[in-house]
Amino acid sequence: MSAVAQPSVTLRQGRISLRHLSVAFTARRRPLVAVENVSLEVEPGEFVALLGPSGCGKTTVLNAVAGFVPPSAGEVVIDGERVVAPSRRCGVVFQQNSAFPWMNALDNVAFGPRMQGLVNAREIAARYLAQVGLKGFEEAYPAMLSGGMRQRVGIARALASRAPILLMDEPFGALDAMTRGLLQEQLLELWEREQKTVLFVTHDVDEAIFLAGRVVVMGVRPGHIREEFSVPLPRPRRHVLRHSPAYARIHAAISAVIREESLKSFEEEPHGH
Amino acid sequence: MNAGTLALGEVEASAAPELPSRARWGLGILRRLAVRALSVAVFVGLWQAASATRTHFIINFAHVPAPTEVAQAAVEFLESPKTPRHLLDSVRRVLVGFGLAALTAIPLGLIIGRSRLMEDVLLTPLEILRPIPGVAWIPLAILMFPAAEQSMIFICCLGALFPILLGTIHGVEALDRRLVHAAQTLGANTWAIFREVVLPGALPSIMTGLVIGMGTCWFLVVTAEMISGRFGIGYFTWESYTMQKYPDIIVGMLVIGLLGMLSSAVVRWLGSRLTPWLRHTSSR
Repeated sequence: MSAVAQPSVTLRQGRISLRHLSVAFTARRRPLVAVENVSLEVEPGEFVALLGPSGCGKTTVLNAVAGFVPPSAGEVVIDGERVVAPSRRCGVVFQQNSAFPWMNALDNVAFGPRMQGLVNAREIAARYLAQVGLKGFEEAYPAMLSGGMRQRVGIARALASRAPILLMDEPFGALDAMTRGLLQEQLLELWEREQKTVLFVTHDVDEAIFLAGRVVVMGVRPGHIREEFSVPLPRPRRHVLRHSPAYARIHAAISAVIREESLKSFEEEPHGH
Repeated sequence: MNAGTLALGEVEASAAPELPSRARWGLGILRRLAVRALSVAVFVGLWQAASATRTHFIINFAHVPAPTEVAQAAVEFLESPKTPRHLLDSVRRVLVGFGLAALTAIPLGLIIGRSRLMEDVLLTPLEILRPIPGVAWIPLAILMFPAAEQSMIFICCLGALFPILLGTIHGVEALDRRLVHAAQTLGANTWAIFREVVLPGALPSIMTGLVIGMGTCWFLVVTAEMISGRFGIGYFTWESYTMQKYPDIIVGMLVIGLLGMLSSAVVRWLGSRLTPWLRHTSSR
């Protein structure tokens, strides 16, 4: 595959360190610990999946890395700097519909470069739109695009801002299985070309294994890191990989842990309110 | 009446499959227009009958001029040399008041919607002032402004202010936080977020506030003119009452209604021009 070209970001950038991170919210006037004592190191250029049942705080971890929510204890450090507010170091792709509805696809993608004062923002945007396969849809408003196309606009927008880190919060969760599979492959191609650090939140075991080099499984009540799995499958990965015995072994191991955690949250539900 | 329309509909529906869809669509529009015209005609007919027979059942129609008298008065109104002045004065007051209201309420709403401190500082006094009807402001307005013209514009402006303010605040508060978050990670500073995200995001709701505000502006220009005007369509209406020119009262009322409808339509049209992305949303 010729996809492994020159990295556009030096590999020194994009290191994420979570140090004893805890995040607490106030829900109905009561404190609720969403994430407790999470420590994790993500190397520059690494693809890490945060996997867990709903309510395990994986999105909260992502939001803390992005600077959207403050830690209640511990800290998030990116490239040696403590995260205190959202910054350009992290491009974020949300679950769905986070493209600006009032901008067409091109202007959405050009937003980052434009905010950075680049005069050729629209050229950059056109290039990234083409990379996600949306050439010809520059003028389309998000409402005119399908769910999968909108997510590709979101990915192109995050890439065009040239952040060394890409944070993805279940970006394909709302799509049909067919589109999801195609976008996963496309994402891997882009990642191999761009060499960014990716932190990818998902509740889909298959998605985590197929994409990530390392799968961090999170547990519930409160959210914590339960176990880490390294995924030693060769890259570049393509869809057929899912039928290999190595894939099946990892899948079985991770699924067992996930099942345990899901059951736990399921059983505790009535007490948990 | 109802059964007749229904039967007509059935006949047309059975003939429809032979027509090309474009023609059928045109026919549908025509039929709706016909129904609307008919409804106005029936309404005017009932009014004519009630006035002619001097019906006195709950409502006293004895002193209500008949549509024919009103039509005659309307012709005289259109021919009168004072008419342009009446219309222009009212339109000018509404436009100036409305413009001032929009210029005040939109920035204020954006700030209140974005900042909790500003909400605490500004919203409570505004909430106390909001339920006070425009009429209640008239005495104070006369005391506060040296010229009657200014107090009338002030009353007008007050009427439009609150719908626009509330529409803006609502639009800002209903904005998807993820859009602001996305803009922050893309390198937008506070001012850019206001200009590029908060304002366009709140725009549909601001436009709704503007349409409603335009309506209340017309309510209040009439109220204000009745008390302290010399020209203006509200003044014309009130003057017709005091001079016992009853058909003119209704002419004045209808002109106010028409102007209000027209100006709301203009604001709505402007709004759809400013929010082209919404057209595609509704067609999906």
